Amino acid sequence: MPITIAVAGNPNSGKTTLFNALTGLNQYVGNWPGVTVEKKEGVLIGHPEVVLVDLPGIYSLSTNSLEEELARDYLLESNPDAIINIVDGTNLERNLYLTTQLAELGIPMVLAINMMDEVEKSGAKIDGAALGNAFGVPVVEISALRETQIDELARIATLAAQKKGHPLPLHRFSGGVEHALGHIEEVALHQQPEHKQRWYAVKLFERNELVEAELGLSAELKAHIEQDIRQCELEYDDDSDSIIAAERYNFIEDVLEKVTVRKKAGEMSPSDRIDRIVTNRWLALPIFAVMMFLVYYVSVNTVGATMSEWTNDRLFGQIILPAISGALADWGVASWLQGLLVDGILAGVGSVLSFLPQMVVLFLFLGLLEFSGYMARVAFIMDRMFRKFGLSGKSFIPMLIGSGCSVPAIMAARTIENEHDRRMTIITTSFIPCGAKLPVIAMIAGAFFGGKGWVAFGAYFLGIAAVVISGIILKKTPLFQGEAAPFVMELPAYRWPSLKNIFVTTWDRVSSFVKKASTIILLAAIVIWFMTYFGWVDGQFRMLQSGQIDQSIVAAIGNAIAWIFKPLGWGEWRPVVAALSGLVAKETVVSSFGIFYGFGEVAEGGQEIWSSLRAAFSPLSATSFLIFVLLSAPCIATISSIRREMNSAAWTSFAIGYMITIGYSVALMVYQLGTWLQSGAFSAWTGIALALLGLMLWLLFRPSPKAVGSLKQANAGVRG
Amino acid sequence: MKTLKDVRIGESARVVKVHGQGRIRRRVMDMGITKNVEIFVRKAAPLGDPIEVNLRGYELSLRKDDAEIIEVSSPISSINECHYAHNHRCRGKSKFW
Repeated sequence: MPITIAVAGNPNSGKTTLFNALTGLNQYVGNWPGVTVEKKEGVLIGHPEVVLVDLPGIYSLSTNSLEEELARDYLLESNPDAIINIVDGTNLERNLYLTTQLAELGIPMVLAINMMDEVEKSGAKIDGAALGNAFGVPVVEISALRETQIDELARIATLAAQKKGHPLPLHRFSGGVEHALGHIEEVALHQQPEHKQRWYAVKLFERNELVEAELGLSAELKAHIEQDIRQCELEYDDDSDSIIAAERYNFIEDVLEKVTVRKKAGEMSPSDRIDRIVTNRWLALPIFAVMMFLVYYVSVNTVGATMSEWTNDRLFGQIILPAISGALADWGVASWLQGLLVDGILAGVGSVLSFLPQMVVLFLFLGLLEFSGYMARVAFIMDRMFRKFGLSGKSFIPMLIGSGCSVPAIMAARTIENEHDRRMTIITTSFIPCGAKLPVIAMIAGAFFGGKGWVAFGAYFLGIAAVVISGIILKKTPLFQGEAAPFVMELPAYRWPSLKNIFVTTWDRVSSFVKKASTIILLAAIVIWFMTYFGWVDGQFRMLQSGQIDQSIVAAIGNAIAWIFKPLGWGEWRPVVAALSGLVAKETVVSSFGIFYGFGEVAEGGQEIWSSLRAAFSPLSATSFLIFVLLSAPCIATISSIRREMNSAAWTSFAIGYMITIGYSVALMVYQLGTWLQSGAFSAWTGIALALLGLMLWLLFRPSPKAVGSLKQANAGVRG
Repeated sequence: MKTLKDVRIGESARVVKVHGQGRIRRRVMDMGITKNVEIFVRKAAPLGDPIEVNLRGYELSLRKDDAEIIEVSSPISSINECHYAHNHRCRGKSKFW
């Protein structure tokens, strides 16, 4: 019979390391339903009948965060056969807080005290057996990193799960609270199963409305309980929820007093010494800049770019594609099928694979930053700057990576715990011009502005401004309202990261990208290939010869929607189709123009077509075109990773819709207001552009509805 | 009311009460900021906010705005220090008493 064991513990307690040690690579990484939190399951090595579920790292079972809610709901509703509660032996006091809550669930539990090697090295001592007795659970002292006692832990946890009992919590609070809890159990909970009574009693004592509703207590009963709570609050001169929190910690302090010998106080640990430098008032920012430069330089500029280029140009462009096209031609495969295989499917596969090297390098770095403890400091250092825009300090990294490629950048947003911040980061990251947008910038700059550097600078400035403005505007919309998740964050001790962890995490993330994203990209590549290479020639639907792209389905669509772009100054099918072709990859915009103007292959900056462009665009409409290409919907690979990371079709549509709206509006404002300033002619569109500008400014500067609301709430909610 | 926000860097304080409501209040308590616990304010971030504090043997960072819901008093140990050693650093602190 299958056994399910949940692994629960604080963030940074070594939970991931333990989970990897217990399951090896036998893991399935998915998402919890409907949210973007990773859900990992795995099979215990050597025991195919034992399934381990890795719960999100949490500090408590209250419903402070999505992670806590998920973990709590899972434990209460899915009834795992046992819990492995992993605690950091070097930080027992806070780690055991969660233990006191888990012990009240009536699920067999094993306490795994992790990092025992570090504990011993520091000179501290823990009497594991005595600690276990205090909680009434078996204890295994382990080191997840060195994989000591892991088998023993697995054995004991499996035994506990097979017993199928419902243990009762042993920890007790002080007299007054126990009196109240006992009374609550007696009047409201005696018909509940014995092992659930304590959990319910504590929740009722905390005035938890969800539990009150679940139990369906009568108003009379509630009033009765309220009396008990009030009396206790009076006695302790505190609110009931603080009383419980304090009692849990008091219990832990008492136990630890008896079962541990602490290291000498006042001595600085190596981690403290590192932190004194790394987050030093003066050194923190320079060190941060150097770290970020390293991450950027290696993952985007050197290794990543070189390897991506190699995969794309050499491996695919010069080896695989010619070999396959040659073989297909030799076999006499129909030309449309050759086209589908080579230009559609293989090009699609190639575009997925070309991200991989960059992504692998980036995720290795991110793993290093996360597991060493530096990532939390990134949030600490940058929080002040980013929170104004509804972003997290950790959003810095996706933004930075986004200047290389938005696909890994959006995946890097995973390191942001807060869902609002993460969504905001995902929506805004692709405003930062990625490497593939550079040829478009170079083309416009070269053709219209003498190739001046300020155009590129302006493009980056536009990107950053779009991030900042979007952050401020979106933060005030109902989508990002609701109670903000508090920024009360542990700064974990610095540790040497385990290479195994970094590799496993990188493997999980990259392989899940390939599995999920590649199907979408492949499908899109085929559809776009079809629309580009097929069309009506002389009233006949057929595959097109090269140079007939103006008769393709894409061109037909471009023609049909060209009027939409008239107010932007380029309402003709060529620029419209070129902009649309940017969906495949942004640099395609340049080669599309090459095809339209009859040049076939063009250089990266499109030098051959500059004069044709100058005939088709004015500097102003070219600027508007560039703005639209830079800000509106990103390429299909990015869209599919947005879909993957948002884990919601609605949010994905919102993100893409928002980008298109912003791109269109800004391009329209620039073109129309520019025309007005240049010629002095005021048209209806000038009015619309002004109205749009006004609307944008209003959205930007209106008071945040939340700030007003929460102030009122706070005033009304001040307690005696 | 003296709050954690008012405690200077390098000084400690004892928690009297956690005010506020909702998630932030819950979270603060879950992280071990409960009545009578002693908190040491270690440093501020380079841009002045958030702050890093030490309590219950670990490091925690929180924004100054959130630190405002935590009512504190000077810890008993440092009152004694003040009492016995009249150094000039204590005078600033004692005005809260």
